[in-house]
Amino acid sequence: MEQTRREFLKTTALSGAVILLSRYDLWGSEAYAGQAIKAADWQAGPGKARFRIDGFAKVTGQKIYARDFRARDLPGWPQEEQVVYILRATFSDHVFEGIDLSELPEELKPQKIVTQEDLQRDGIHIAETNYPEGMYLVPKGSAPDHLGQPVALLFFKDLQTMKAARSQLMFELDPIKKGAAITLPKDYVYQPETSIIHIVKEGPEPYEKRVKFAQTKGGPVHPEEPGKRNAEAMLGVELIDGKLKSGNWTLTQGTYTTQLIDPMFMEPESGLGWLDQKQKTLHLLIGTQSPQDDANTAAELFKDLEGRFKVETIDFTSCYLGGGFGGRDTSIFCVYLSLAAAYAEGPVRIIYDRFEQFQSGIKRHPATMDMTLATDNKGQFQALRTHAVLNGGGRPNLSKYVAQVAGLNATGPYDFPLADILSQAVHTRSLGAGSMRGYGASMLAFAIESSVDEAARSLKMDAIDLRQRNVLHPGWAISTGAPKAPPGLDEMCKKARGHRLWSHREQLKKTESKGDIAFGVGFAITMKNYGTGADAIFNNVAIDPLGQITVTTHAVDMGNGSATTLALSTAAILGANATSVKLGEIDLFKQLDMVESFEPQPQNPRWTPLLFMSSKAATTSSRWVHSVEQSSHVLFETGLFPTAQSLWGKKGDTLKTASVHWHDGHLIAPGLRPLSLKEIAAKAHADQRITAVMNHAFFSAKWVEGDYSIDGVTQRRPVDGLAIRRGQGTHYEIVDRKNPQLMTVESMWEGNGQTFGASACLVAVTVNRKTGEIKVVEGVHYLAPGKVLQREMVEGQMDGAFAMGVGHALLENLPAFEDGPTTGRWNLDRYHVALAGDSALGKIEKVILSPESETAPARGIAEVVLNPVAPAIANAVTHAIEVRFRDLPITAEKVRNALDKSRS
Amino acid sequence: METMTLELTLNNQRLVRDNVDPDLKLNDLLREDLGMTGTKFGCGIAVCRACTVAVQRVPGGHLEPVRTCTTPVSAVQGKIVTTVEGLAQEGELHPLQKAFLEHFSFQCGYSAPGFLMASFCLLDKLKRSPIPKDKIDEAILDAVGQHVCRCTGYVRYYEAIRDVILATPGLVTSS
Repeated sequence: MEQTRREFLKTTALSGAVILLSRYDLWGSEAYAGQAIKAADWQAGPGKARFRIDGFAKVTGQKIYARDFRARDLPGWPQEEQVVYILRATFSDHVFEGIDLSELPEELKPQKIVTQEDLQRDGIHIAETNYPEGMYLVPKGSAPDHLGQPVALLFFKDLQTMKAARSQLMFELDPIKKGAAITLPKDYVYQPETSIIHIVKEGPEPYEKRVKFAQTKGGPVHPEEPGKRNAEAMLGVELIDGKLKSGNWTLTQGTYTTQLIDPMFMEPESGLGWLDQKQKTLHLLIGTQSPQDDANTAAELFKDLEGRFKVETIDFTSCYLGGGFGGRDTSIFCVYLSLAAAYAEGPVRIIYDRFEQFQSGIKRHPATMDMTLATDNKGQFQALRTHAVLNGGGRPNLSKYVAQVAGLNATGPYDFPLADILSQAVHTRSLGAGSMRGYGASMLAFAIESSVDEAARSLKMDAIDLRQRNVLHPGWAISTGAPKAPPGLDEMCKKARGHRLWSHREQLKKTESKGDIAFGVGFAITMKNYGTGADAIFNNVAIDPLGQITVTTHAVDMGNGSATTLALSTAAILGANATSVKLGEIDLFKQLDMVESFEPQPQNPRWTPLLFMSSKAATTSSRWVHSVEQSSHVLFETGLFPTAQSLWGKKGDTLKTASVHWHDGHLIAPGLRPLSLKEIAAKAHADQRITAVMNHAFFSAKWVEGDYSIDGVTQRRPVDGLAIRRGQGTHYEIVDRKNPQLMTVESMWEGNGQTFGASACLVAVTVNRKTGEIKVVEGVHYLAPGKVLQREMVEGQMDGAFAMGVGHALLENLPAFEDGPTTGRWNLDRYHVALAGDSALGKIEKVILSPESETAPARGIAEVVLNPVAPAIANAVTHAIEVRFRDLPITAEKVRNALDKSRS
Repeated sequence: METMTLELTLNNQRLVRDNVDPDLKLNDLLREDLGMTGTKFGCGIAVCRACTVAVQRVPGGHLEPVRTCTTPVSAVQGKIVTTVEGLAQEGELHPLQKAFLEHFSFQCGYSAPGFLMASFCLLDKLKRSPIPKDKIDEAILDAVGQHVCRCTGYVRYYEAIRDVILATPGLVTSS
C-alpha cells in the first residue's frame, strides 16, 4: 500500500522518521527474458559470475538508463511530453532583473515560463532535508547566490524545439537581464567545520594511557569556541604550535591545491516526471545514487497542504546509472524535475546535454591545504598540522561531510603523536560541490603524499623507507580518531621498495632520460574509510516455488557491480545465486515498520538511528553483502532447512545445520537423499514455511545486533530489524528484536565507526622538457581488498581508478569561478579525461594483496584505489625534473613555466 | 522548413520516413524518433564517441564508424546503418558482445555501444586488410583510442577486442 502524504506528515510529527513514499521498479536484467536474442547465463556456478548480471542488457543496448525512457515507454502515462530547459545565471555580481526572450524566434518561444515568484505564490515548500537553502530559482530583484543558479524553467512542446531554443539561449542571445552591480558577499564556512586535535605523549606506557587528547573521547571539538573541552583542545593547538617552533624537528611546510573536477559520468542527467492530478500522484523516473533522498525531496516540495499542487503519493522509478562517482548522490536535479512535473500540462522531461551537465552538475571541491609535517632526525613523524579549505560553492549539499572525511583522512596512512587538523568547506559564489569518488580524502592524499616526499628529500632518506617507518600497522589507532588501521600498508611499502622501478630508479632515470625526455619514478600510499561511519541497509531475500532467488534492496548500481555482487551473495548460504536483483526498491521495506530518529528510543524494538543510506562510499561488498547474507541465513535456518528435514523425515534436533552442505544445487546430508533447491523451495511454499526474509542492518564500527525469536527458536543476529514471509503471501511478520546492543550518537562518536582500506601506486613517467608533456609509461597499483568477491570487478575498479587518477594529476581542470563551467561553455573538447593513450595501457601491473586471514572482510575499494595515483604521478614528475608541483593538475604549461623559471 | 524523405537501411530493415528535417541529428532519429536508445548520447560534439554507429555506403562496402550526435540524417541518406541493436545475428550475440561480457569490459555500460560499433568497423577493416599480430594493439588504439570511458580505464575493452581479432580467422597475417 502506498503511504499518503498525510500519513507521512503524521509519522514525521510523531517520530521524526524519514518516510519514503514511492514504489521503485527495476529496469534491469530480468526485464529481458524472452527477448529475441538468446541471453547466455551470467552465472559461473554458485558465488561466481561469468559476466555481470546486467551485462546482457548493456551489451545489447536495452533501455535501462533514465535517458532512454520516454513517457510513451511507461505504462499508464500519457504519450506526449513537454521538455523543460533550465535557464541559469552566468553571473552573481549583479541583480537579476528578469528574463527577456523577445529575441527568440516566435516558433522557439516556450509554452510556459516558471519563476521563483510562481514557486512562492503556489506554496512550494523548501526541501529542508537536503536543500534547506531554498531559492531554487533566483527571485527577481536579487543577485544570484552563486554562478549557474537557475532563474527560470522554460517549457517547450518537444525536444527539437527545446534544443533549438537552448542553442540560441546558451550561445547566441543574452536573455538574462542584469541590474545593478552588487558587492559580492563574503565567503563563509558551512558549519560544523571539522577540527581534530590529537595528542599522544611519549613514554613507556601502553598507547591508550599515553593518549592525552583524542577525537574519540568526548566528541567533536572547536578550539576557538567556549567550553572546557574546547579550551583543552586550544591548549593542544598551542602545545603543537610550540613544538613545531621548537627547532627540534625537520619541518616540511607547503600549501597544496587541487582543482575543480567534474565527475564526468557518461550519461548526462535526465529524467521524466508526471504529476497525475487526478490521482494526486507525482511520478518520477531518474537515474540517481540516492533514490530515497530524491523521493523524500519531492514529497517535501509539495508538503504545504494549502499549496497549489496536491501530491499524496510519490511514485519513483530508479534506473541503472550511466556512471555516478558520487555526482548523482543528492543531486538537485530531482528538485527541478519535480517542479517541472508540477507545472507541466502532462508528462515532462529534462534532458541535459553535456554543456548543461558541466554547468550544473555536482563537482569535486577545489581544495587548498596548508600543511606542516614534522619529522625527527630518525625519520619518525612527530606532528602534522593541516588546514584544509574546500570550496563548496553556493549550495551546502554534502560539503560539510566531505570536509569531515577530508579531516578524517588528513593524516594519511601514518602514525602521528601530535595532530592539529582543521577542515572547512566554504560557501562561495562558485557552482556547488559535493560527493565525488575519493570524497575529500583524494585531495588530502595529494597534500600529504607530496609532503612526505618532500620530507624524504630534506632528510635525504629513501621516500618509501620514510613511509615504511611511519605507516600504521593493522589494528593501530588512527590519529584522526578511528580505532583500526587496515592491513597492507607495510606490505605495500615493502613490495614497492623491492620492485625494479623503485630499486633501480636512479639508474632508470639515467638510462631512460634522453634528449628532452626526463624519466622519473614516484610512489604514494593511501588509506581511506569505506562506508560512512553510520551505514544503514535494507534488503529482502525471497525464494519462489521453482527455487529461484530474488534479492531486493534499495542499492543502485552505478556500474560498480552492486547488482552482480548481491546476486552472488546468497550462494554460500542458499546453494545458489540470486537470479534476479531488484534495485532501488523502497516500498517493500515499509513492512519492517522501522522508525528513525537521532534520539535513541531504547525501549522501541523498531527504532534505528538511520533508515537509509545512498549508494556510495564503496559499501556494496562490505555492508550490503552482510545484510543479504543475514537474510539468507535466516531463510535457510528457519525456512529451507526445516523443510529439508521434513522431506528427509527428520524431526527435532536430530540433524543440525552445521552437518549439511550445498553441492551442485543440492543440499547434502550424510546418508540422506540429496535434495535439490527446487524441491525444497516447492515444499516450503506448499507447507507455508518461511520463504522470504527481510532485514534492516545498521553498522558503525560494528553491527547492531539483537535476539530474534522465530517459531520458538531464538538466535542472536547482527541486524537491527527483521521480518519473515511464509509461503507465497505478500504479508511479512515482523520479528521484534530483544536484548539489542544499540548505538547512540555518543557511542558512534566514541567508537568512531570508520573502517579503512589501503592502496598504493608506484609509477614511472616521462616529461618532455621542451613541450612540458608528461606521459605515464609504467606502473604498479597495489590494493588490499581483503576477501575478493569477484576478481574481475575488483581489477576493473583498479583500472578505472588508475585512468581517473591520471586525469586528476595531469588533465582535468575547471576554473572555479567566472570562466568556469557555469558559463555553459565547457565540454569534452576543453575538459580532458584520460583516454587509453594516457593510461599506459598494458603497462600497469595490478597487485592484489592476499586476505590477511580466512575471515578477512571484503573491504570497500572503489574510492581508496583512486587516491594514490595522482600523488604518485606528481612525485614521479618531481623525480624526473627536480621541480615540485604543489598544484594539480600538472599541465604541460605549468611544466614549461617551471622549467623556464628554473633556468633563468 | 525544408524537409526530405529519408530512406536508409537500418539494422537490415528498410526505413522510409517522409517530412524529415535534413538537419535532424542521426542520434535524435534513433533515440527520440525510433526509440532505439542503444546508441548513446555523451557529449553532443563528437568527442566522446559513445554515440558511434557503423555506416556502409553500399552493401559490401567498408564499414565506417560515424558519430551520430553531430551527423545530420541527410548524411546517411541511402546508406546502410548498423547500431548496437543490430549486432546480434540469428539470435546469437556478436563475438564482440560475447567478449565484452566475458572480459567484464564495461561497468556502467554507457560507453559500451560506441566501443562495440567502432570495434565492429575495425573487424571489417582487418578482414579486408589483415595485419601482423604485433600491430593489433596499434590498430585497436587507432580504432577506439579516442573513445571516452570513465569507469573502466579501457583495459578490459582492449583485451576483449584483441581476443576477438585473434579468434576471428583472416584478420591477422601469418607473418
